[in-house]
Amino acid sequence: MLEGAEFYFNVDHGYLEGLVRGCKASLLTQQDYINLVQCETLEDVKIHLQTTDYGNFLANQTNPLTVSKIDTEMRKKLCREFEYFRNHSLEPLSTFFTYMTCSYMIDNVILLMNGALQKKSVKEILVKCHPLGRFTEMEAVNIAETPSDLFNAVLVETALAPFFQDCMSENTLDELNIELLRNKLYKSYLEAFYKFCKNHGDVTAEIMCPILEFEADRRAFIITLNSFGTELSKDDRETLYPTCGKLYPEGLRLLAQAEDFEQMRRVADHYGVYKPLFEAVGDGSGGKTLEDVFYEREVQMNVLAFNRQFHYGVFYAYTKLKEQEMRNIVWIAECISQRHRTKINSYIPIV
Amino acid sequence: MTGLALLYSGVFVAFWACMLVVEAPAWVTGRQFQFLFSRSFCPPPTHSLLDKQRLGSGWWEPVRSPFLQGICYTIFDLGFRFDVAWFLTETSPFMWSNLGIGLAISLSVVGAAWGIYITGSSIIGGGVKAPRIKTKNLVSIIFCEAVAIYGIIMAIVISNMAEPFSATDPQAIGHRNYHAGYSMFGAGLTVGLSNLFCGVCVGIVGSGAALADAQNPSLFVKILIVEIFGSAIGLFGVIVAILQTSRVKMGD
Repeated sequence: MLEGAEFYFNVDHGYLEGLVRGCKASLLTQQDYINLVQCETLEDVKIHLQTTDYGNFLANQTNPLTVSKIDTEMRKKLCREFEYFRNHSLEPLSTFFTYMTCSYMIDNVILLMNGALQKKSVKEILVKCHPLGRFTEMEAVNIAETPSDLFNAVLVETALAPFFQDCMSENTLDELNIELLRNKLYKSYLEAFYKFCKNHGDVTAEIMCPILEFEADRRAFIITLNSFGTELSKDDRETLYPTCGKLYPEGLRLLAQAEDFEQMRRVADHYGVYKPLFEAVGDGSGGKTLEDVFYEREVQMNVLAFNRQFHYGVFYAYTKLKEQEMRNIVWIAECISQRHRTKINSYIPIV
Repeated sequence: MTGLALLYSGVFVAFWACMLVVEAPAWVTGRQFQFLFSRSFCPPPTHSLLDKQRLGSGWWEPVRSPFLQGICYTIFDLGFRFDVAWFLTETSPFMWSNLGIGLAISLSVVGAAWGIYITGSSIIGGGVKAPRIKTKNLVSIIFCEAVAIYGIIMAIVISNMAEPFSATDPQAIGHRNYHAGYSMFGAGLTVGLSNLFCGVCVGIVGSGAALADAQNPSLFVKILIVEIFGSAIGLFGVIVAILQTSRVKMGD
């Protein structure tokens, strides 16, 4: 009877939930985006951002201001907020945060390995790594030659260790295998995260499970789209799909057999949620791409997460919305700096 | 050995053999009660993201021991030991009245505390980015505190009705004293439980009010109306408890 989230959530996580809701209220509004779109130079963008919650975050930057500097500073700010939440969290919220950082850690590991393959120096790549996915053994990643090497020597102590079960093979890591490794790691990670949320139960499961199901299906669609025209076999493709989504198992089987966009669209038409998304995809250069449509849907789901109280989904949703906001600002800044303003309005507003 | 000594020693050995067989795993691992406190039993954080096992298995753990006790009593013909009438007449009305007073204040305080921490942590979190909510939302805390005040008022009112009496056996104690004891217990339970749930209710609504106020100041007054209805239910408990103890007369 007294088992619901609302009775016990605030003991450990009440302060952080209040804080993250306050942070969400200071995301950029539609008016801010209209102001940013009307800017002429990046200096104007900096001035407009000073009136928002970003404040003087670009104050210490030397001239000239570039888009990548804006991006790095925004990312650092997000990382500071995230680390604050993470340092003040208790179990099981801290496990939840660890799961959230795993996706960035996977990206960083793959980035470092690609860099090692192209014989770039570690310092160069470390600058490009996502700060949320930082872990102490990062510098040692480039010494590994095979996945089992990588696991045993470097990653066995990190949070990524449980996700290496399906990826242990003796193939040397070349371009194709690194991408396969990335997708396999991500699949294990997503399924573990889904299981964690589901076992937690209560409101967290109600909010997070649909979001993660959508993430899994989106991953399946994007993998399929990217594998048209490559030499990835259909069976290999099927092993890369995460199985925690709505498409499992029939949709994934059909998707593995798909050979072009039309067949993929026909698979999506079986599902009430994905049919309108695929219908919204414009054709050719005029309308929206599939990625845009997926980003819009993700933003929609993340905004809805804030309608319920006493769950961990608000932290996930806030991080994703902040990332979308960063993508929007970078898009607008790029359009401004390259003076190519035709598509400047195709950012995704967060209402 | 005489027959009775044999019977008692046999029953003793059989009973404890049963207990040992069934309870030994729990005794050995020391895990009988950890499920009760599993919320505060925090395993040290590990890097592993694999699932943590649940301690205890839900409903069976607390039910197991009395259930086996009952089976043992039935098997060994000790059913006479489970006697409700004896219990009710042999326990003193003072025990019931003091339990009632204790429950009145303690359950009310649990409800008030529960509500205050639920609301308080949300106010603190929301107040970081929206400092204006700090003072206005103390009203929610005051509503929760009122619940504890109802509890202490009722505890004082009920405790004033306890008078000493000199009888010791059930016949001499008389029906008035038993009635008084049970009424005071019932009143304490009434006001305690209703304040418990009232406090929790006001706390959860107050938490929502604080977070909504942080986003949109016009929402606060509307949600406060919901809180007022929530705190009315604590008052209902006080009224019923006063009615329950209105005819109480303890003494010789």
